Amino acid sequence: MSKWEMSLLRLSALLSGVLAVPQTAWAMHIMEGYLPGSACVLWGALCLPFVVGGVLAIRRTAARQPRGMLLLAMAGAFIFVISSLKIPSVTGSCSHMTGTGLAAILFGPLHATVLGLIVLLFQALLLAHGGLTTLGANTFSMAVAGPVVSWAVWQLCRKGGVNRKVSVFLAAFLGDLLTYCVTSLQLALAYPSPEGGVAASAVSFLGVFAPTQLPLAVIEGILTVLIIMGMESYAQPELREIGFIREGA
Amino acid sequence: MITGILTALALFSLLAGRIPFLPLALLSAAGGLVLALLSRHHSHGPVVIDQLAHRSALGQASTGWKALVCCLLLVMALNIRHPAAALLLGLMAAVFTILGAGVPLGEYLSLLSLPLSFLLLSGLALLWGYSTAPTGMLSVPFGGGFLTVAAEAQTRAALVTARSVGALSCLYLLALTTPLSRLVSLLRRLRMPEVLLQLMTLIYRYLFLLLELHRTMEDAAASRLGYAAFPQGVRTTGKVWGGLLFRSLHRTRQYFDAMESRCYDGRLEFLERPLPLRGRDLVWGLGLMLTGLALMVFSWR
Repeated sequence: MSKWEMSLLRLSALLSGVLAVPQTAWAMHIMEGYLPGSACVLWGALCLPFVVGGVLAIRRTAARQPRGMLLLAMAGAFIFVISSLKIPSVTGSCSHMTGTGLAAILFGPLHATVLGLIVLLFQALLLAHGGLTTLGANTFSMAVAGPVVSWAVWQLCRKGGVNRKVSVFLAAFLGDLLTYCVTSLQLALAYPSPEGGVAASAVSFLGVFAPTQLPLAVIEGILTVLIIMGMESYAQPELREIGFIREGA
Repeated sequence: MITGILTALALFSLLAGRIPFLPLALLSAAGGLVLALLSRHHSHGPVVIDQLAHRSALGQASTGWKALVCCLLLVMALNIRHPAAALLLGLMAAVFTILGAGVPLGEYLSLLSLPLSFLLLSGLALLWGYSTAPTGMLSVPFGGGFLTVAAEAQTRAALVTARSVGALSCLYLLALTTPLSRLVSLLRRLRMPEVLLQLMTLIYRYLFLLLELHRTMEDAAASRLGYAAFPQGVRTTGKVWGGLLFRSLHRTRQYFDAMESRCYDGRLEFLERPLPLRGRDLVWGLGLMLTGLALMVFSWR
């Protein structure tokens, strides 16, 4: 563990110590029945092009190499598992991560959208977390907006020659953060505050969830860095297979 | 503990000014206590719901019918315009799930407690607003202005929360009676893209393998004091998950070889016993839907 990693960990511990509210913090999804019908349809429609694009992209992958299908499925199962497990945080609270940033970095945003959609559906049915009516809204925040930002940040950092670990951290951290902001915005658009309108309501939703979501985003960033580092040292062939490491790199 | 306090706070601001202070305080405290007790031991992962679904007394009912009933009930729950009607719809679905499908009451309540605490937390954001004058049902001085709870915000928060509770128990009606594999085959009959269905089938099968593998790795790490302190905990978690991802990607090679030797050509075929629509399923489904419809129409007046 290098000095830089150590200081990163210290910083995160400090941050969560200050911010974490000791309570159950699920990676933020909108609960079943929380949005009016029109909003459900609207967000679902917005996701549609991304899902169709993702299905086409995966179909191409499957045609090129049948094993790619299995790798994707395994990654999907992995995302589901880590999003259903506790991650350590101070004072005995437990939080969960989204994992879609990781998928976007490894596979690209379109693949991540489809994986995210399936994971969200499974979360609704197997964990009662999220819901069927709010599937569209949750897909948009967690499986479209988050991965696109993660992927864009990751590409930008790579072009700019930023340190690998820093860029993985930034990609996962910003992706998670954006997911949370988009979710707050979705709630605010559905339920604008009587006095201040959408903006005031958005601030109030951001405020209520900030204590759990900010440290969560930091921890998600750190964990993603650790996972990618671990894989780079042990799983080179697999990473090459999914195209994460270029041949000869 | 904090869950309980927040719940009590949310209940208090939800009903403040509507009922006298003493019963209100008692009710809030009781609500907080119950939720704190219920959410104390929610160590249930995806395995619990999956097992309940496989064991359900309604397991042999037609999947398509169950999904249809549940989806229509969800639509009704979203369109109800009175909190009491939404709660009644939820109660009806819950009672039916517990008695009709044989889900143990304790399991059901503990499954419900987690989303409930999250719901009440979001309710706080709907309730409290910021204004320059102390108006509304409750107000607290804050940074030069006042944090207030307006009467219309209370009405809206009550409706949204009740609706959500109602919709949740309709979702449970489906989730606790139908194994996911059956829903995937229903989606296949609805002509969803084949790649999507394949991914879902594979993910569903791998998920429990990974959970098992993860538990072993976590136990091993914990027995070496891997989670003794917070920084260590984060580092161990990262390593365990990295190892998990590596092991799982590594395993796909074996799985693929096994599948290819059984003539896998990009299609997964499963034999399935068709589940015809039975008379009694028709009866309970129609009963639930008609009651839901009546509640919805009644709440519009």
